[in-house]
Amino acid sequence: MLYLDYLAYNNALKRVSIGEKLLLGGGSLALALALPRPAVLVAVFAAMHAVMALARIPAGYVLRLWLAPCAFLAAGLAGVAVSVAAAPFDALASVEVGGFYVGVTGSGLAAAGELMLRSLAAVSCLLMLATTTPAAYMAAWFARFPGLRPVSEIALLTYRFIFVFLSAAGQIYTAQQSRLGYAGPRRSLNSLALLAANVGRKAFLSANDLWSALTARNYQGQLTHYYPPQVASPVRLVAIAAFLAVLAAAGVF
Amino acid sequence: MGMKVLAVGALLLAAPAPAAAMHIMEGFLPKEYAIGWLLAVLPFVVVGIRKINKVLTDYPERKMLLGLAAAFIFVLSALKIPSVAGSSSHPTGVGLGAILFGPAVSSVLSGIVLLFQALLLAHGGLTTWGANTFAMGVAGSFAAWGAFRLALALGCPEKGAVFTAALLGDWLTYAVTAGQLAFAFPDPVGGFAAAYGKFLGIFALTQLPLAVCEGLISVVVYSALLRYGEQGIIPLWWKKSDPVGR
Repeated sequence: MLYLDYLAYNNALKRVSIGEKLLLGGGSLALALALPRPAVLVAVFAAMHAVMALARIPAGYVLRLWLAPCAFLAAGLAGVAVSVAAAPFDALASVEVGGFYVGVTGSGLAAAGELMLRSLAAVSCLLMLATTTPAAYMAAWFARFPGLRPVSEIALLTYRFIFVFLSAAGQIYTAQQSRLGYAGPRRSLNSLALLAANVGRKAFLSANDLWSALTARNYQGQLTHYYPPQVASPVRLVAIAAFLAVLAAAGVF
Repeated sequence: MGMKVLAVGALLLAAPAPAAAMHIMEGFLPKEYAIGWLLAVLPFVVVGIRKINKVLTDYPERKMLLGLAAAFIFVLSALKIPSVAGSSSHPTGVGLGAILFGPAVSSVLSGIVLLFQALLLAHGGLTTWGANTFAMGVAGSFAAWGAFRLALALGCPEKGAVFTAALLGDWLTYAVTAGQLAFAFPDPVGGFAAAYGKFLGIFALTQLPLAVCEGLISVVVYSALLRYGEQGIIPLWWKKSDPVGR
């Protein structure tokens, strides 16, 4: 099991209803995108981290989760903040590189600043949802809609088997590594390809086995998913609605 | 076993910078663009879902196959390929997905994989799901599938066609993502063209060699699947007259 998924099932807010978390996370995410004023974005960022702290998600792990988005953010912000042109342009600072002018402009920096705040706020909503709400429950929630049911079921099957295949990949990886399978780029590529091929075989074999097992158990075309009973709290719902209303007001006025 | 999965998970999460570089992160796109790309991808996803529903009516056992294939693509996309400058990057699995299931079904599978990448690995995002699914699931899948068919029609050996499909699927995903970013953030001086050049340049370092590696890996995986099929271990549904999703 991935640690993020482990936390989603085992956090201090695990008994809080999925609907409440979706309302808070989804609502804040929508407002961060729709009304991206600095005050709104800072409030969303702080509130989402406060919820993760309430859920007792280890701070060090949250910091580690930020690594991947921050890497994209660094590369993306560089792309937005830095301008390149064949002719000199009005820049705060610029250098000539191989006949091109590379520099930063005031508008480029302002756009990058806004973008950074918005991205940080939005990612914090995603992290709050990911660390406190199991992905399987969210996928099962979508299975309520008749048109989406087959795809939701495929998504749930995907979810279940991600961990089976990651486990297989982990075992194969250890076996390969202990035989110097990753000594050098050429060997690494070969080992990875063999690992992928074997996980693929396992995936397609498991699909056959799963079908046989389900038909032997009177499978009628619909998978049943267990949902733990969760009751939405009116007090928390009102508090979330009030928080979103204050955010919206701060974004509009 | 649990510890090994945790170790693989830790490897995934400790990935160096460009590992998730080509999925646009959560909140990066302004709302107009996020909604626009979501609307752009919807018709393809709807067609894909209809195709899946039709296939499942005729072949209910394919539900397991599609679900597990998406899990396989997720694991593929979680593998780290050694790349340049000490960095690493991950395959998209889009080429294999398109070859095995056709582009429409592959779009939906890519959408599912991207959703779980956002929720389980914090790669990509929910508001950028539309843009990422369009780049990888639609543009990448159709390019890969078209390249595979065209290469076969031109008499290219099957392995060469698989390599070309995976390579072009990756490159087009990368080119479309750079275009999406440039479209949303045109350069204040040089406009769209300059921004496109910048974003292509930033990600070229890892994405160009990555596509070649993914092409090679796809050939090995495809050959292995063919071998397993010939040995009767797995069905070669994509070679028959009733392939999934085509």
